[in-house]
Amino acid sequence: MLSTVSRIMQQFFGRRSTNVFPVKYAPESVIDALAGGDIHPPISMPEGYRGKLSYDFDKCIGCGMCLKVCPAKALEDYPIMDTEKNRPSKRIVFYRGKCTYCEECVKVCPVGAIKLNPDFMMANYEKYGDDQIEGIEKRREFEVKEGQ
Amino acid sequence: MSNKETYKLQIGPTHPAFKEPVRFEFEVDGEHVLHADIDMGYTHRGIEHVSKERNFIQIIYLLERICGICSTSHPMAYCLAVENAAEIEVPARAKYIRTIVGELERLHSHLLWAGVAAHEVGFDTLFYTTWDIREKVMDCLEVISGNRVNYAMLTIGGVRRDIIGEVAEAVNKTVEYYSDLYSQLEDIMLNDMSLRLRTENVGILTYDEALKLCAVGPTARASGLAKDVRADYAVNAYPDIPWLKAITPNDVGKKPVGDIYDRIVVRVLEIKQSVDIIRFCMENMPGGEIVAEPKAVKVINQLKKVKAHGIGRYEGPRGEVSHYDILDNNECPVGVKVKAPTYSNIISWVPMFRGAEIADIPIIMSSIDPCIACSDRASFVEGEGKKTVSFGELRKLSMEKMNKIRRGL
Amino acid sequence: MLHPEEIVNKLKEYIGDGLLEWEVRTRFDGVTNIREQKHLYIKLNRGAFHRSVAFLYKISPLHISCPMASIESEEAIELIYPFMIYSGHGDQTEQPLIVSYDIPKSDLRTVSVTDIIPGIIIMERETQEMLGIEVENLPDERRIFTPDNMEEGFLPLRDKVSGISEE
Repeated sequence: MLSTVSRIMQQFFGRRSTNVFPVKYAPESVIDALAGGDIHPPISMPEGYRGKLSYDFDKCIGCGMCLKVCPAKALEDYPIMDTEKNRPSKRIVFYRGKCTYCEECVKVCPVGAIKLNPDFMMANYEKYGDDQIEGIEKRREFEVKEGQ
Repeated sequence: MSNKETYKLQIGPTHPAFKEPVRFEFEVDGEHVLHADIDMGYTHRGIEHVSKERNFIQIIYLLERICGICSTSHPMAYCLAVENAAEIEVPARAKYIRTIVGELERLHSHLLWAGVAAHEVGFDTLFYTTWDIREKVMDCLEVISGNRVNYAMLTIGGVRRDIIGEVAEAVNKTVEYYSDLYSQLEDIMLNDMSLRLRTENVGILTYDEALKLCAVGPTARASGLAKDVRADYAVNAYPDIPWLKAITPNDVGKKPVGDIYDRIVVRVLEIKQSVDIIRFCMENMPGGEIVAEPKAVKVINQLKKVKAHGIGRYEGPRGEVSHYDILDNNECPVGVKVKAPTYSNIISWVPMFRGAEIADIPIIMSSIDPCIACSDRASFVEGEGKKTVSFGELRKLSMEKMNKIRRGL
Repeated sequence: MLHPEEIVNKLKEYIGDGLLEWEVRTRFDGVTNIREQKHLYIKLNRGAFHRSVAFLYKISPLHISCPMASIESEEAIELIYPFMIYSGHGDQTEQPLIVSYDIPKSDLRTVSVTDIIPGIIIMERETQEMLGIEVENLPDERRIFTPDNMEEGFLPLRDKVSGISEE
């Protein structure tokens, strides 16, 4: 019984067990005054954390192995013209809303063009908005449309 | 013959006392339950059907999402089944790492369950306590795998990340933390008067019923039926552990009754057992490779040439997880059959509810640690107008949606 | 505890021609203490199934480990029951006993074993709704996972048959 009472006291006055959402990332419209970011600073993520995906367009060789292993089919390929080697090739875009963060594409990539970063702030209203698709700018620039 | 009328009490599919959708129909006489009827299928997602269209590597991550809590158990059983069919030898170190991750998962699942059960009987201090101390094991799993849930640690023929250096240190620290804390936890969970009053002689499942109804996991062991896949069937590093055996209430010198209190006893003792297993594995971990074939595409090509059946079994936190996979010279399996522990235990609810009081329904329901999402595995029902759609139709609809988005680019 | 071959011999004596094929496959696991696990695969005649299960249950209570898997061919569906025998004896001595039999597509019927193993009921109900195999003597014939208003003849886990066209 006594241990229970001491537990209750701990729960009243002790440290919180979960991390508080860092104010730095709160939407500006909510708290302009607190946007400095000193209140509840972000907690560093452990090494190897599987967060936001990044893709290096220039490193990619268009082998398509990542397409084969992706469990959620979050990747899509599109044709481009490789100007260096002067032959048609392929590049990919990632739909972040579909990604399951399994890291399988990172492991399978022969040139290390895909990486998972410790960034975890990914919430968005638009499932297929521009900032939810990795590599969309490059696609708009380099995609070879049919008949071109 | 009395002329007393009985009433039908319907609870669910969604109800604040239940964590997941399941519907019960109780026949009640006053406060007493005479009979319970169970209706499921509210979260059926057709994972077994979808599996037939994915390759062997993709399925691991699909199966991981059958259940968020036992997200290592399902891939583990699947990998064991495929390895059994293709006769792939798993490296020794990978077996130990699999065991460690599985036991950490058991630790967090049992603590989570303790919190849920405490909440159901209105003991919120204990709920807070167990969920507070559970954070440590979640952090440890995050350090090992890079995520708090859905660890993505397993692959066919081994594991994907090693436990060395700082990660090993984090695991050792977690083991120490829980060894120090255990006596306090045991004291609160097993000796607290209010918890005992609510759980003793409630929701009884006898030994014979457990045996006949094929109950698994802590539910069966609390009834004195010493079924434990880790002790019965050779998986991972478990055969190496000389003192490993199924835990029953006999271990605290108590005759098994099969009530909710016994289920608490079994789970609390298993927390200690898990900690001991992790310590054993950390001390005896052999060196060497962690995966038989690191290249995923090669694994797929290797499995393309296999025509065999495989069975994979693993003791998840809630009980036996069992997979039966059929490989037939194809990139995708022709059959994946999944059994989650709750699937076996659903039918055990019927004798447990018999004679119970209405106020005890939530705690009896949660006493088997149910995971309805695990047991229900194809959604054929569309939200609007309850129209039934076929898989092909569903795919066509989603393709149209994707094309619309693409045109917008 | 009987060896798989002894189980087969006893079963053969009892059901005779009902036993079509059998095979023992061995699996090893463990690192310093390598344990051997014998898996017994038995193929039966459909008619001998219920009798065989009753006989095997007498040797030691069976545990049904996984819902029935199925393999569909042109003219038959093979139904596979992954049973376990000697569960709960500890020391890695459990033996998988995988029983299968063919059901011709022209006569999709089988018989329930709930009178021997009551715990199998949900799996038999699942088989009935997902594969369209009629299970006789099933105490509860309602659907379990699929919705009650689902179209007749729509069988989710069958390869080719579906009540709803792809359009």
